[in-house]
Amino acid sequence: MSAANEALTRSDGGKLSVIGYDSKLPEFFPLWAKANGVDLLSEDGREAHLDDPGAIEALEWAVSIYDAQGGFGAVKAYRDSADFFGEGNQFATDVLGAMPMEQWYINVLNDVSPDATVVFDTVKDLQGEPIAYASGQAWAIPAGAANPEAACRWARVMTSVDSWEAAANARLELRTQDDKPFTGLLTGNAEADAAIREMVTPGGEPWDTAVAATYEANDHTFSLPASPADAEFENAMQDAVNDVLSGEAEPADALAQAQKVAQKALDDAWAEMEER
Amino acid sequence: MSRGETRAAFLFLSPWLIGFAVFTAWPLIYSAYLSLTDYDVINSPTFVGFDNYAELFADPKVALALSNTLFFTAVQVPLYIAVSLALALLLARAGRASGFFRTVFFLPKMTPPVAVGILFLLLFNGQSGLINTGLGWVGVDGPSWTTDPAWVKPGLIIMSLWTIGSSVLILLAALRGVPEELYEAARLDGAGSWRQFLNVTLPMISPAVFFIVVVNTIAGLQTFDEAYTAFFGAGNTTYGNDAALFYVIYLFQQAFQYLNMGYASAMAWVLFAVIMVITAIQAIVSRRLVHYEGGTSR
Repeated sequence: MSAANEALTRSDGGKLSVIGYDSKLPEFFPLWAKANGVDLLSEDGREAHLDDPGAIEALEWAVSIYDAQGGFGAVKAYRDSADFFGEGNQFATDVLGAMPMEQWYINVLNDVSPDATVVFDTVKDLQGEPIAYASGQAWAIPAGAANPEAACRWARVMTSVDSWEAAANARLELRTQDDKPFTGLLTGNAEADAAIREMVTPGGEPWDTAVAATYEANDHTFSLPASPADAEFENAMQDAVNDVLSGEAEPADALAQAQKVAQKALDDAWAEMEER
Repeated sequence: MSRGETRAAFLFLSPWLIGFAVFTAWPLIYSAYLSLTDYDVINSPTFVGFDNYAELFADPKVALALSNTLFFTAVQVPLYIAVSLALALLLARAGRASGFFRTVFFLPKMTPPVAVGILFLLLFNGQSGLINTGLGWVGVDGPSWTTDPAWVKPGLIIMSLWTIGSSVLILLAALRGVPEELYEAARLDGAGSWRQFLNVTLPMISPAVFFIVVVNTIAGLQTFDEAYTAFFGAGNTTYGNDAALFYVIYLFQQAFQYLNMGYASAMAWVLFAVIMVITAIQAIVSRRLVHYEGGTSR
């Protein structure tokens, strides 16, 4: 990927004119760490592994992608100037080589620049296996809620296969009206995912490959386990990556500091939760 | 005053009194109480004494946010006054065109702060922003205003001049209130333009300058909208530049991102104390520097 980055990057008069590869830091740091064999948070959500040598190595690599293009500042400034959701998006205007991205962006590109030359594939780990980072929201019913049974019923109905299928049908109808392909929905419910996949409509290339890659990636996802200090953990992690990106810290030092902050937040939050 | 008149007075005052009690006094009292508790919005507040304050003084991010905020205020306020005064002096000599330029200078003030934050990202983009394009025309390679930590605050300070219109109008009104006889007397004494400005204009408009200093210092210490939009809002939800972490932004994150309402309330009271101390110092210093035509201010 580093070699591809160097081959794709272009400069014009000392200024970046084509971003070769965008490693999408800080949000995709968990992906690069996992691809390097590191879970940043233990499965039980209690132990941070931010200072793991594999995590440090992953961060060093992801930052080196920016350094090879003149630094994160130059890449981000150029990235921010792109019309991300419009006809002049970075792929349509040939100012970005490649980047990892969530699956919904396929629909954006299909809508605004259907004729742009793009190819889609899954991200691969060091063993060449597809890997994808999944995140999302969940509902929780607070202890002491006035009507927890109703809240539970509501959450179950909203996440049932029937509800997801109804949502997919509504989406399919809209896409058909617009003469656009229905690229599927990822729901967090395996049964619903399988049923909705059957509803996908062909859109020709590269969109069919994009949808196939999305579902392939969906079969190889991981996510950061839930914890009562989720926001604090994520913030410590992102602060560390941001400090490295802005040149204020080295990866090892930044992640060592983040480990301390994140572990304290986890310990405090779990202790408080257990006390309650 | 008769009892009826007193009753009528209270009746007319009651909308304000009710508004003050509900929207100012009660939130103040409740926030003071919350600052002594651990409160996450979902569970009931638990009394923790002064733990939040102790934690706050040991939190390196509070120190960082406070130093960022003090730096911003210390540079922004004098610059804001200097530019406002320069524009007001120009407007005072603008003759008939003054009305047009007054409107032009005030218009940006009408821009919502969130839009100013977005505008900042567009104007100051290190690669394609108008500011660096302009600097390029005169052979200057502009910095990465939005991504280089060393240039983030200077960029925000310059951008804050966008809303300079109201201060320009206040100073223009003050300038127009300076009696012409004073200038005539100064000229008879042989004072040149600079002397007249230093010894006549500045003392005569010093109450207006003092007002702007106090108001802008408080606004600077509470700065939030533009920096939050540019560096922590939509489109930048993950890349938050520490150089733009102002005190109220960190307070907001603690309250509404981490739901640490007790901690955020303690932060709010510390900020209140900081503002109070700084304003008191300004008031003391003003006794020597501000000239009131009717005598000392009360």
